[in-house]
Amino acid sequence: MLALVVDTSTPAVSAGLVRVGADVQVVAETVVVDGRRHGELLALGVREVLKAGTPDLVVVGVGPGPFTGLRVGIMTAAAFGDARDLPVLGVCSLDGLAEPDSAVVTDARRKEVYWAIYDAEGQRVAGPHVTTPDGAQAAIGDRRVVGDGALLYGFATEQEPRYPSVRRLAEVAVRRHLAGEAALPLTPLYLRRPDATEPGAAKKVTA
Amino acid sequence: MPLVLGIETSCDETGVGIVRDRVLLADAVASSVDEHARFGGVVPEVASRAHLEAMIPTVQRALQTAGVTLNDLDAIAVTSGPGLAGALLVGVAAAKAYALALDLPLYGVNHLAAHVAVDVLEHGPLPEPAIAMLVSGGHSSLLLVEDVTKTLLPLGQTVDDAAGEAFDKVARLLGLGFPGGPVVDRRARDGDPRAIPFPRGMLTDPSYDVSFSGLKTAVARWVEKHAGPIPVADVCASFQEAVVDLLTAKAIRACRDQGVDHLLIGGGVAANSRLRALAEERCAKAGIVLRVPRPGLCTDNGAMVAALGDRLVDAGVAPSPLDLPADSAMPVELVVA
Ligand SMILES: Nc1ncnc2c1ncn2[C@@H]1O[C@H](COP(=O)(O)OP(=O)(O)OP(=O)(O)O)[C@@H](O)[C@H]1O
Repeated sequence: MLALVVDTSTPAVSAGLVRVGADVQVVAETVVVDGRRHGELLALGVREVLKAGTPDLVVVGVGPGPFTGLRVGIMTAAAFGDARDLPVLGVCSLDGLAEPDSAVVTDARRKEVYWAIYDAEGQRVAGPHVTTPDGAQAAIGDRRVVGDGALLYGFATEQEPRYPSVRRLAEVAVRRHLAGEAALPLTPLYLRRPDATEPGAAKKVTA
Repeated sequence: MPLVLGIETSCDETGVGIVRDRVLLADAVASSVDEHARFGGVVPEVASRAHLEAMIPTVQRALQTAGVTLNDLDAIAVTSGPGLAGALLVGVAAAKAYALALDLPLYGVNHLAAHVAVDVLEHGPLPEPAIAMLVSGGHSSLLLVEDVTKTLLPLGQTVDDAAGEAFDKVARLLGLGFPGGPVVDRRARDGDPRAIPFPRGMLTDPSYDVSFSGLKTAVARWVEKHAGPIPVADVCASFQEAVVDLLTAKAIRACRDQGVDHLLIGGGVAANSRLRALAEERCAKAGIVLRVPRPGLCTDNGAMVAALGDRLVDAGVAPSPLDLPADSAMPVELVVA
């Protein structure tokens, strides 16, 4: 089964074509790290990897991550799937970074991190959450930590991998799909509410 | 005959339109306006979230109405600016993915040019040159249109608030809710437009620019100083009269100065009944042909984007590159990015 994979939950703009069968093989992949240009770069990456084959389904990281970039990846996957009439599987982007017995920490900006904890089988047992780095550190304890949030806030002994891998995202999503598990809906794992305040009384203009 | 799908997400409406050779086949719109109402204005993050949720269902609805499938399409057009950056990005991402998956040309188009082009769906080819006045919650612009597929020449604009924004702010200070335009229009029908002499900002200024912030302040001051119950209908009528008097005076003057005998009005405020009536009256007197699309085509929608896309394909204009950016400040001179 050939999966088109996209993830825009971090500054990495990732697209890949991944074969998931008895083993998992990355057929084509493009990764450009530019957190401000997901909208410009992602479609180019998708066009590039499509030269290597025709996908049977689409896998997309639905975050958590900065909202604006995240929506680019999800919208791209959803519209591509709609156009080609393919299933589109949402998967937690942190799962694309996870290794057995590890914690994943990515940058949530505003001095916060997104994080999740994985057990010895690589199953997510906590998260995704958004908290301060201290809060994450307290929950994570002395587990091995991966992800760019760990690097940024300096509490990891190892930082690689920093960004979700298309290989891992495809593997997780397709295996769950084949096992009959429901994929995540095609909506970002926002974890935060929109910043918006209801207006108070109008300002006076006369003294 | 090209079949073009147009996507619009520059503000709070998710619009998808389908046009074939100047004929409107579908115009599906999902609006998040109710979600913004309690904030008294459009909240960009709320709008962006709503676009993502609404996009695929709105595309499907448009296809169904038009009785066509995605595989029948010949081109995809999308508003790539100006507008709210995060909101534009959702529409642009969708348009790119459809274009890529279906191997179709992609046109990233200017929202204001689309407001001009939409009129072709109702009134046929626009005689050019024409003057276009676009008045909405985000814009108050006077434009010279020599060829809508090439460029628009800005003649004047608001120096502060947009016309629709003025309606929204005045409605808010009168406690009439959001959006303010339709309710002010309605309440004004029972009021006297000459009851209160509100200022016409920059009416005598030789430029084609307009200003509404002084008017808004004058309304606020008048309401605060007024003893007893506020005559809401009179305030609405007098405020509205000041806005439409100023707008139509500048538009007619632009037509005269430029020697142009067609005036087109578009944007959400073009739905205003008094603006339509006064423009009609003054155009008739000045020998100018007035064109105003029906209200549903004046507010933001996908049909206008498809209409412009259709004209662009017809004119043989080169499509946009796949790394097309969403440009929140896209200049009006640029019709296709
Ligand atoms: N009958 C009316 N009279 C006056 N103003 C109106 C009327 N109907 C709508 N409006 C105003 O039009 C504006 C909405 O216009 P539109 O739907 O074009 O959206 P917009 O997001 O402001 O558009 P744009 O993105 O083109 O700036 C609002 O400010 C609203 O109050």
